[in-house]
Amino acid sequence: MARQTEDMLSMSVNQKEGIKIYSEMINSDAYEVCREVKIILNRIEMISGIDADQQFDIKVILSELLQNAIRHGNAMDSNKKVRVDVWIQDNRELFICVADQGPGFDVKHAFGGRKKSADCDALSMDESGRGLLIVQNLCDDIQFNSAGNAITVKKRLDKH
Amino acid sequence: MFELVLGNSGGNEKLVFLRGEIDIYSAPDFRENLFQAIGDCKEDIVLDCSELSYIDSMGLGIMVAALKRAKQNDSNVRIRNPKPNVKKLFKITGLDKVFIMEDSK
Repeated sequence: MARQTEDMLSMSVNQKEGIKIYSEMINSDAYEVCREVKIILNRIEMISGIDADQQFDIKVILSELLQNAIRHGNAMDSNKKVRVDVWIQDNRELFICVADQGPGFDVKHAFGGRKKSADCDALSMDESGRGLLIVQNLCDDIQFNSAGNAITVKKRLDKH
Repeated sequence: MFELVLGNSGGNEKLVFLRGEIDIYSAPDFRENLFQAIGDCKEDIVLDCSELSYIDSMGLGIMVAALKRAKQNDSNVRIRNPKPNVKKLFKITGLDKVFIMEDSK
């Protein structure tokens, strides 16, 4: 695993002022991803009492990050795992860090080249590639490691 | 838990009810059942989303694939009565401008 990834992971685990919600290695498997997303959501709900809209957003964010990690990062390789760390700071900021064991990707390309589907003709549209756009819109901050195989997002849990 | 139920088709539309959650686990079932329902249908496909509680980019991608199939058949896919959170994802991705969005409530 790249040095930057290790640094990011150790940072996430050692959040001194945060409440650690979850820290596990997940297999590159769809069933396991769904099961762990539910576990994480339940824990967040117990600690922060999020409402239904926030629950929806967080479920989408978690699912998108994990789908990207197992499908694009680990290429569904059953020998590769995904590291997930979730913590809450000051009872109002949720952090999710997802790191895969793939080669990483070009972050600038991922964000720079993406256009909303409205710009495209339906017949020439891609089926995939909307995950990060959705995450970007539902989160308050996104950070990547330089290798592009670990992402940390922040979402405020303030009541709207 | 996800369920796709075919409704009564009439006029120029074929009604498909989507219930529950389309996530990474249920997405393959959704794809298979939806494409089976579309077949070589020349009518518009109406996806009734009033009881769809969850979808993400994978499910949206399958809807895009269904739209492409429908366009090849000279028909269309209409998204009917999505819940606000589901509608929000169509808006974020710009797909609200690609699909015909119907809100009868």
